[in-house]
Amino acid sequence: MAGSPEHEALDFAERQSRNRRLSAVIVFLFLIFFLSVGLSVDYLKLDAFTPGGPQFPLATVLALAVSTGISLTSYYWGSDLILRALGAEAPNLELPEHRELRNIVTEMALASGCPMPKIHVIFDPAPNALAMGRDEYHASICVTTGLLLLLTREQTQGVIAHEIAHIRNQDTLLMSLISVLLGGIALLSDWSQRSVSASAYRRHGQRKNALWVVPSLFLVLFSPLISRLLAMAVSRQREYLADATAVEFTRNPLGLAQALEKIRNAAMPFHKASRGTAHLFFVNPLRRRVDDREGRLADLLSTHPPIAHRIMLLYQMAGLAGGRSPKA
Amino acid sequence: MARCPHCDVEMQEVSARAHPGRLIVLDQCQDCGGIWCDQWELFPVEPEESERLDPLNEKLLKNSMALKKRALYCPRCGDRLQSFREPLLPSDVQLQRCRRCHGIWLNKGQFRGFKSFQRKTREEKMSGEEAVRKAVRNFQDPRSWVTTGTRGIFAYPRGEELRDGIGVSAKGAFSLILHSLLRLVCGF
Repeated sequence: MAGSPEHEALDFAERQSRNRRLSAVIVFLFLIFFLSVGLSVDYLKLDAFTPGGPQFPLATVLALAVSTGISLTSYYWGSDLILRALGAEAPNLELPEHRELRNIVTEMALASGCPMPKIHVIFDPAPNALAMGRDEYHASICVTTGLLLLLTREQTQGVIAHEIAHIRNQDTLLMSLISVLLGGIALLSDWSQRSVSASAYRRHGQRKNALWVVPSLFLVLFSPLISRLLAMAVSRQREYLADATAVEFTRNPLGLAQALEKIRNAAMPFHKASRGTAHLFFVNPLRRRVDDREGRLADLLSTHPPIAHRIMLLYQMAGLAGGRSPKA
Repeated sequence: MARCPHCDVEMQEVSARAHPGRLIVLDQCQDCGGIWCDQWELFPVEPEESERLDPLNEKLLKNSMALKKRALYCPRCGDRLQSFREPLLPSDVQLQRCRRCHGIWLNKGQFRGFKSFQRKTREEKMSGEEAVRKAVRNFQDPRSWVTTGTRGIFAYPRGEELRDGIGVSAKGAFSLILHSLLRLVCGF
């Protein structure tokens, strides 16, 4: 029997508006970050803002234009870029495995009340899945062939429900934005480091104000770290929340728990994943040790919660206290 | 008690076996035979149960076709039901869903059609053991890793029978170059 639709809708609406707010803040910070790096390059390399230097802050304007371009691209075409980078393909409906996948996605779209997302498949033996898109009308779900091989229908259903929960909560907007913005920051980091090392800084360093130089160098040298901080915006809580929402859609916590167990035991490297896209996946494809730890520091540094903890929570939901697994 | 969106009579609660090993209570109209499923109730019901709940009845099926043109309203929240179109489903299965409470209405015969399709997709799929055997066998074979993408692991060696092998390879090579460039530029 149905719960209270008003209460559920309010719950989802709250999560969605929180994610939209956070996305706007991250895009704003991203623009500010690019602007600061542009200013620092102008100051350190091009000698702008100094007597006798150029009047037009070329690097700043360029950085602002590039960051606006990247932000707009990541909002409108971010998921397409990521899918292309991961080598995702449309499913071939002549294959029974892909037909079943589409049927499962249809069922979960109906159960969640979402429109039907686009489906993609990645040819990789590592079992994993991800969801992307700026809203539920432009969402995509992507699974690897390894996942289709390894999991049963109920287990795949749990994974798809988890991904649809990300779409429903609009985590996908934030996660897709971060993926493309991280790529942009990596690009900027390389460019600015090269600029500074070959700059006129060494020649005219004595004319610069130390108060300007220190934060500028900090920005240039620590931009990779800042990109990690952006990734931390994708908190572990989202994964726990998506697991809980998935169970709400399937009413079968065991399916998802068994899927997680199988994926954990498969331990195959996912060659196409990288730091910029790792947070998008169902389980972290890079298998960092920090993912298996708990505590505040691990919460801060990791985008994925420990799989064992997720499994334990799901078994608790199924009424199997202590996380004892029945035979899959 | 919920009322039938078609006949406006009270529906009766019917129980059905569902996965994993539990009972789900659905609402069924005793006049037109249509079934109302709340948000998540349609999917876990065992396909075999559809034959009991929704037996084939030509007379009722004919009547239910005539009822389709009317606007239907959700028996739970009163919102107008909307058609959900999925090209992969059989054409006679047209689900009506409530966008507010996410319940689903299935006319007589459609519950059975939906469940038959679900069972068919499950049965057509390669068994788990066979799939793993095939993956292990093909994993070592470079031909299954050619840039034919998703065709490789499932369709190979069926993939060899493709008529336009050259076209597929060229497309795959182009796509590979594009991916590499994209990853290089975006730093993914």
